[in-house]
Amino acid sequence: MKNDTLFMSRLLIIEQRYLAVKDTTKFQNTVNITNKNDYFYRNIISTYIMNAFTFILFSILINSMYFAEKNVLSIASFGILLFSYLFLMGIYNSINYLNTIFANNMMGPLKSLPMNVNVNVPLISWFIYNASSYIFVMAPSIAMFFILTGDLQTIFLGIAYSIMTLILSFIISGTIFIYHYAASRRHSSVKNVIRILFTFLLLGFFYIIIENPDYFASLTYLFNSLPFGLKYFLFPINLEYIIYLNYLSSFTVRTLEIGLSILFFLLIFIIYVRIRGKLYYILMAAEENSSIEKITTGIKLDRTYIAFLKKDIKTTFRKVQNLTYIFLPILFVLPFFLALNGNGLGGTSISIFSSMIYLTIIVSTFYSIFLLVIEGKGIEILDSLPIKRNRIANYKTIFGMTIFIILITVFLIVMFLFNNARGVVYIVEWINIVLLFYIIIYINIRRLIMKLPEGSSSINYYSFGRYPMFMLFVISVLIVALSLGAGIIISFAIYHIVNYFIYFDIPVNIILLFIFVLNKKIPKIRKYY
Amino acid sequence: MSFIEIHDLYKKYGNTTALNGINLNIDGGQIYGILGPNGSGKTTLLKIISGIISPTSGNIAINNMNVSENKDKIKAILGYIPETPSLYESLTPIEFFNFIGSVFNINSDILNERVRAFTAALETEKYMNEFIGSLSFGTKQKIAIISSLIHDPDIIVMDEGMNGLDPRSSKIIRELLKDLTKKGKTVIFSTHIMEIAETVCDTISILYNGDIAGTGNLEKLKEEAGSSNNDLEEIFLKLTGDEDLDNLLNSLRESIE
Repeated sequence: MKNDTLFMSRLLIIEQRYLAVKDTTKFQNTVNITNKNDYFYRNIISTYIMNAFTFILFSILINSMYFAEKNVLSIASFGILLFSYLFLMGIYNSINYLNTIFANNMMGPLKSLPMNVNVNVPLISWFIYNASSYIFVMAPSIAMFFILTGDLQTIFLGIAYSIMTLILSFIISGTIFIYHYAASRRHSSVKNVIRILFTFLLLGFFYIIIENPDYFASLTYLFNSLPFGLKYFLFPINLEYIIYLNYLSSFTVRTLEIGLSILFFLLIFIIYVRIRGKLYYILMAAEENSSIEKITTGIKLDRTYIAFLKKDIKTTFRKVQNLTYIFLPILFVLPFFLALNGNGLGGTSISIFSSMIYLTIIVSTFYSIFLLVIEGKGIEILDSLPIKRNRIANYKTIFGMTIFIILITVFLIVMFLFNNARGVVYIVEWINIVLLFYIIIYINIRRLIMKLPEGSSSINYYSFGRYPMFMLFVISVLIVALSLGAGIIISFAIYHIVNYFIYFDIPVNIILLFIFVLNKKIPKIRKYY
Repeated sequence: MSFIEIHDLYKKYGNTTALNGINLNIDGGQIYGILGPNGSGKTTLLKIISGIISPTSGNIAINNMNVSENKDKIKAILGYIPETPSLYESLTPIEFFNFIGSVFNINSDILNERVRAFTAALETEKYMNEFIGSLSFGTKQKIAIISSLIHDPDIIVMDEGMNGLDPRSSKIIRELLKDLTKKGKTVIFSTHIMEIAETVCDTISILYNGDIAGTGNLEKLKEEAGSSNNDLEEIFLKLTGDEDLDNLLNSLRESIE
């Protein structure tokens, strides 16, 4: 690989980190002009190592149970779940990566350089400095499988297919990015929504197939009827089989399957070869981004929160890159939902309630960052307006709530239609979940917005520290645990007194709402003003 | 008592000192120019005046209100125009003005009238239904200027606000600013373009390496610099130290040859 390509790849990631932290006091206090590049490089490497370490730890924790039982099949099944996450994280991270480059026109200045920038720079930069750290989530799984089966090929195949899966996710993100970039110049917000919904429906379907084709009985039938047993080598549907389960197959069969599988991947890779030039061109010409949607409204004043809501809806729905952030969390909820509800959409009230809780945690974690990242350079406008940041957090929460209420309502309607879920209990839980979501997202957004240094000129994913998602996830889980835990304890206490069981979750959440949201005298907030 | 009083103002970014104990008194109803080379601290000073960032130490008061303690009140009477227009690219100018107008709670009829007047004056009416992202840099700058004026601020702070404007628009903005000062508004703007500073400003402060190198009208600055003519460029170079300029130029010429 040419030095120029590596240099440009590194430059892209350093620029992203620089934009995120340049306004922070910590950065200004610790870094002088001469050591800036070293600082960012160290920062990138340490983030990478910490990512890898966290993934390994998480994977060891779960796999150890199966390893202790010497349960090869469970390791394989969990392995495919890890591959699904690898795939999803790849999509999420690459969409984020491309959007940040695009929104900040990071490749635009390269146009004037007297050098031919390799069109693969976005992929190489993303893979080396971001995505490759995700591969470590697979390491314990394939290592334990190897120890139990002695099949050395699992290790090589595991690594190779992890790389292939990440490249596949980049190809999907890149294709979505190009398609929606071109489409956003022609179409309206409504069409954007329909387009992105359709894309995510396809992705969700694809994802379910990877995880377990048996979810669709007819699909299983279809696979079984495929000539030559395509399911054994059709990448990526074959992942569980080819990496783990065919270790007892003969060398000839295995070689043939791997060869054909890689051939399938190469066919997919042709898509990348076809789109990379276009992707590169779009990223280079970012400042020319525009849309021709015509708006003919006059000026009608709104209340401030409505004005914010309208602005956020428009900036999100008119920019497909932003729209992807809204729907992506749903894909993360899908495996949990499917695991709980078994084959098909059957489920108990406990599993439905658990899915709702999981949906709340994941969506609030993702949306907290997304709702601020969509501001981009707009943070400079907000900083010049006479609005305190905790009020901005409130307005952002309203937008997040609007989307979440739609999501959770659709979720319950699906449950009502495809399941035997009926009754007032779900409406009560709907209220409970909405309250819980409001508390979590408000706390998270307020925490993030307070972290932004005053006078920030732009916001991107890295503006909130090295592991913002992890911290948001932990906070979300803690609040949910507090809410559920307190609800259960109080409910049992009441049962003990009146001998009648009333689940006390809504009053608990109302109390939490008063403590965390409505109480304006929390010292942590006051110190900023 | 001046309209804006800046006392012993320091701003440090880590180890770098952007403002080094600035003292300034700015009277209301005038155009006040902050002149200085790149990196002299102009943007930092204007952002502190606008309540966008806080100083490391020192005080700044506008109309007897401490800026650090009354940021929202100051922002409500101030219009800030950044060096590069920060706008929501996927909104149209009309939608953006609607957002700004709603935040400032301006009467709908008054807002419509102001938008109509400003867009007509700056010849931007035809772009009102286009997405801001599709507009040229100059048009975006005009949109940013209009958005900072529609709430009728008492103070207008422009950070290199004439950047990217064609001569016609630049002339219109200059005349508009002069008219606003006649109505008692105060305009503070930074520039490194001598011609603009010379033709527009009533008072000029020259900022150099975070310090005030000179303040006053053209005559006073000429005196401070010990300059014999009225050329602001010469005054500026004298006040900011032009001793090493010849050496730099000679060295550059040699390297080119």
